[in-house]
Amino acid sequence: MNAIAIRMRGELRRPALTALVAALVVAFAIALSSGAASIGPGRSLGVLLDVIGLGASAAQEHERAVILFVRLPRVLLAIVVGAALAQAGALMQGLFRNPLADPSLVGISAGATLGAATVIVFAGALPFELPTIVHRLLLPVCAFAGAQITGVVLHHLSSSSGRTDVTTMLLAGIAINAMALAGTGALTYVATDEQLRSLTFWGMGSLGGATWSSLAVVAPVLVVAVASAWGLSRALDAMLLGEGEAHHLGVDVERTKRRALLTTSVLIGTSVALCGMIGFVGLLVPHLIRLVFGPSHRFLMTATILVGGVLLLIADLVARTVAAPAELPIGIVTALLGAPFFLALLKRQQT
Amino acid sequence: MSAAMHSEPSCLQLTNVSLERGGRRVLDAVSVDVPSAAVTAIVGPNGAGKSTLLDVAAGALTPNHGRVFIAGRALDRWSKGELATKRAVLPQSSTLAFGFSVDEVIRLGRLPHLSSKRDDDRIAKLALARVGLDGFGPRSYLELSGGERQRVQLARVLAQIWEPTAHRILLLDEPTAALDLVHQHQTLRLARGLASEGVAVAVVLHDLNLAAQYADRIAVMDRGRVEHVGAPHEVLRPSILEPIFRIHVDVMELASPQRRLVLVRDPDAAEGDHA
Repeated sequence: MNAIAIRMRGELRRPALTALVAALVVAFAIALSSGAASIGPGRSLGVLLDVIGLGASAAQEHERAVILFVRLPRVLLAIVVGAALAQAGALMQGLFRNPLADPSLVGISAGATLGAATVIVFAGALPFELPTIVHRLLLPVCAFAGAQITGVVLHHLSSSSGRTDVTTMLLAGIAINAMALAGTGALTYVATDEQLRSLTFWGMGSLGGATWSSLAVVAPVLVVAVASAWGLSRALDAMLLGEGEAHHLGVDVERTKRRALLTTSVLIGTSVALCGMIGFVGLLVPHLIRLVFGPSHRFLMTATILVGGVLLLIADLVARTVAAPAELPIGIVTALLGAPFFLALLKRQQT
Repeated sequence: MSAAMHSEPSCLQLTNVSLERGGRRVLDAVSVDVPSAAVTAIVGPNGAGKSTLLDVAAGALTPNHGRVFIAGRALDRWSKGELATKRAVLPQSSTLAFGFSVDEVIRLGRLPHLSSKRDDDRIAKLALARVGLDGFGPRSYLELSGGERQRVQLARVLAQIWEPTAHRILLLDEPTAALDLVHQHQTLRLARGLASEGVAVAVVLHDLNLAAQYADRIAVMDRGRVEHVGAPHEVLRPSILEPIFRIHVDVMELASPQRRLVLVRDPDAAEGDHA
């Protein structure tokens, strides 16, 4: 990249954020007014304006219900989860100092899925019924624990004395991924038919389970995690120089690593508990942003939130409209987008 | 230098430092002072413990025994942030693999400071000029040559301790390894310049003649111990160098009184002389 391009990218950062916010708003409006029931954009947005007391809506009662209780929570969930997945990818890549580190590739999402699957299968096998609130919290907590355990194991396996060996990381990630998937696979044998449907849903990911109550549980958690990731940006910039260099710049390297892993686990665990495994967002989004605007984390962390939100919003829109009234698992859509991109990235790393 | 001159403690002091790694004693009861306003060169054969000593001084390694003092205060009594505004470290090689611009790399050196962005930009520009890379600011770090990258990293550590405060320390681990002749001398002249501004500079060097030319003091290490410390003309003697480096040397006195030039003798020719 030549000097002019680098000078440009600094000046383009602020306008780019404005453009991304605009893109998010447009994608939001389109997603809200698309779906099985045809409700035009004017009437869809009218419902929103009506709710916040700005003008009357021409929409009918059932349209209003579709917008407020089906589409709106789903659209909001897509934005929050997209932001979380992209942010988790950026964090992992900063931590491992490699753009190939993505939670869905190196087993962290699979670990979270195993945690969630364990709850689904064994909570049903308990001789007594768990209270709903416990059940609802148990799922994200176990998904988080699964993500955290795999993340810590991966980090210990691939880093020694401040250096991360990328080949080891990817290979260890493949092994961890395989183990977690095998664990989840084994659980399908003891699962009942109903649990099996749940597990399948977790494997490919879907935003179909979006409700206001699930959103209310996870949104605050994700907002805190996203803020924590944002707060790490300066330390992560220094870490890109090397762990030794970061230490000499006054960064508490161990604490930064712990916090980055913990935050990643919260982001991934919560996302998986709600929507299952959605791959490649964490790979795609930060890399695209770095390509255009450079690796500086302060911009990266802000932009990943917006791009992640827009991307998952569009992916979900595709997933629920291309085969309407049937729905594709969103993981298929993101994998179709992301896998070729990953291969291109690998090829580039070789040269 | 007499003890009376040191009414206040040296800027950086290592006292009786020992460090074991993998069951091997890498540093063995090392005591060394790195005073302000001087360049202290650390020389010795491979595996003598030079880089390890620098790592201990940099706080990257914690010794098993002994203590490190900065401005008379034990290392663990300093906060990480405060220390980073005083002490900058340039490692042997850097592994940055992300496409920062040169400006961004240098501004990372300003991380420990709470200065304004305008000050940081100004300092980054000055630091870049000081390593002779004027106008490289908007270039991509990854497109630079190995030597240019090393000089950008040097500019980064300069930016880190730019403001002339007391007790500044600069630790350089073989800063000349990737550099051509001109830039080897430019880098060490720069180190000298900083020393004349009051910075305590410690530099690991392989080339004894660079040490002779630029250092105020030379510490000679061998097998984890500091065997000799002194001014170049005191330390650069065949009787000191020959047993440690296991070579035969001639040390020439140059025209200016205390300058020395170390020449390694061809072992075959040496035999011939004695015959």
